[in-house]
Amino acid sequence: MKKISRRKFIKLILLAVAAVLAGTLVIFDFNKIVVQMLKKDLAHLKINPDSFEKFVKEADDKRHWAGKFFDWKKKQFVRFGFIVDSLLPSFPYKYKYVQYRSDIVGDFLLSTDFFMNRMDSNKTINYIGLYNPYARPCSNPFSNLYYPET
Amino acid sequence: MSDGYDLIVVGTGFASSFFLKHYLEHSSSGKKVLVLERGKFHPYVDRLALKKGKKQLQITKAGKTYTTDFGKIWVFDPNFGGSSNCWTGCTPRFLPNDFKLKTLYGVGQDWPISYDDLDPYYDQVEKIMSISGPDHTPFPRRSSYPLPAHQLSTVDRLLQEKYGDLYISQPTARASRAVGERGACCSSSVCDLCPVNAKFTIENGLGYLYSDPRVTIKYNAQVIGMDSVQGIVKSVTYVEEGTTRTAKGETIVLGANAIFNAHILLNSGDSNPHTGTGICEQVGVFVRMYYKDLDNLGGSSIISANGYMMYDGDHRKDHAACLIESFNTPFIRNEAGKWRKLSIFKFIYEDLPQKDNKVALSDNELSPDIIFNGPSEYVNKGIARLKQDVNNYFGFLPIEKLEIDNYSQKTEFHICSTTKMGQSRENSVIDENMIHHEYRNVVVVGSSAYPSITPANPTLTLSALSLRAAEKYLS
Repeated sequence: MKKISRRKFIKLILLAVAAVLAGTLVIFDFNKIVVQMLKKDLAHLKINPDSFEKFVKEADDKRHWAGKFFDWKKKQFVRFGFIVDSLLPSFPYKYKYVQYRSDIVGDFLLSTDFFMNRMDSNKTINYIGLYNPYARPCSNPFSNLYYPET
Repeated sequence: MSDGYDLIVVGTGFASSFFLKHYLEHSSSGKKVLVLERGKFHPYVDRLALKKGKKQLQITKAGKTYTTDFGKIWVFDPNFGGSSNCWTGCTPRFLPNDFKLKTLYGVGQDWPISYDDLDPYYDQVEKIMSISGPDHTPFPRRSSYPLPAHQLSTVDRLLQEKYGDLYISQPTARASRAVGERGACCSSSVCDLCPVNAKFTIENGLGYLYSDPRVTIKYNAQVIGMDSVQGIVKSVTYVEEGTTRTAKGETIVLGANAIFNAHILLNSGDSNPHTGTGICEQVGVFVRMYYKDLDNLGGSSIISANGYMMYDGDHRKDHAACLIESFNTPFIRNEAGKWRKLSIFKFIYEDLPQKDNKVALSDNELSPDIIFNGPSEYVNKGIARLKQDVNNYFGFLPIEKLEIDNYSQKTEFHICSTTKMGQSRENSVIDENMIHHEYRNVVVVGSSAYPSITPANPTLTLSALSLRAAEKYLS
């Protein structure tokens, strides 16, 4: 059997990783990534199972991400980050990826009754509609309206 | 005047409207005023319907009005009410020392007026806008704010305990109580268009001026230049719905923003070498602080507090002053049970106007070109020591993790300094009363007049300057 050089071996590994990444990116679009992300990050909460799909559908229909400055580049970064994050302990701009991920999870939770129930993790969480301050003004759950003179 | 106007006002934003307010209140009923607004009037109800997805509107954006190859964006609303349609409503005053940067710290340029000169006009604007604010501030005030302060968050309170009057509830035009046509701010955190109309805008605060029988307002009318004879402007030229027209006027008030005030003057053949130079705005950097055991709760409004710990002092001899904003948007920390053990602060640095950054004429007389090579080294030196400053001023909090953005925001929405005010044409374009050094019947209002920009939000100051300019002009 022909022995391959160390350099060639590393090249092949990198190509394989790139192929896996590219393949995964093709298979998982942004919405699928968002659903996976939510299921993973909120696994400790009891969430009505159809909530995730309802959220991504309504967000898509109402161009929610565009309104949140989640342009194409940012979406690709989140997709890339989600996949790489499960493979590598760190990568460039990981902190930004984590911030965007928090924004996505936060938007989902704001679209449920989680905060209305005072973040009670024993209650089942239900989707109530995409968070939109114009449809539901005054609903910042951390504001003085909900914590007067904390 | 028989075939012209006593006053021609360019624009309908803060600067123009506050000038017009004083002018109308102190002028006879026979006066004729022409207002030329480049954009359209999109009423609040229509803008709200657009946000709710119940109406379609084509609103012209700032980026369509100028050209640049330099990457930096400049944001404003080129429509009736100007940037009152998109501002957040932050209204800190400048500090007394901001007016004498050169004298005290050896950098930048002094203003030709002092804080005391502006103080009574600050008071007036704060009443007109019904500002909510605290009893104690880092800048001197003669009276209380018209409305009570917004509530500090739990984290803000710790910072106020530590820093006293250097950490305050942010003075703001986001009403803490319902007032007039405005609702009470309830922290919806989308201030460009407030869902409950709590924020002061030209429409809800000064819109009545434009119904005054002395006033004729034309929309879609972009002023492109002025014609003068021996230092006196006789008429303005504007393009209305594609047709070029002229209007004669005794007095001209340029109240466009810092890009277009300069552009109009350059198009008019203004030979002052300072006209158009110095375009700049502040530079903002976000910092996230994750806490071990501290919830950030209970703040009211989108920005609950301002920190002045890094603002004024001898450090300004070396690097830029910085104003801190404590954000209160509904952000979360994506960790079970730690949902709000997090603060987001923005650190906003003043820049020094530089002559190589400028508004210039382009091939298109409607659209200026903006040359911007970046902020000054003064800013960069300030940002370079941000981590050190954060540790110094916030280190007493139970911080578990700190994230400092390694880039600045694309814009702070505050375009300044292209027609600076000063004592003479040697260092400025307009005088201490905002009258052009050469065109003595042209008043140039707005933040284009700022010789130095400070880290504080400019709107309150430019509105106060307009009231003062109108009073000086009429007297």
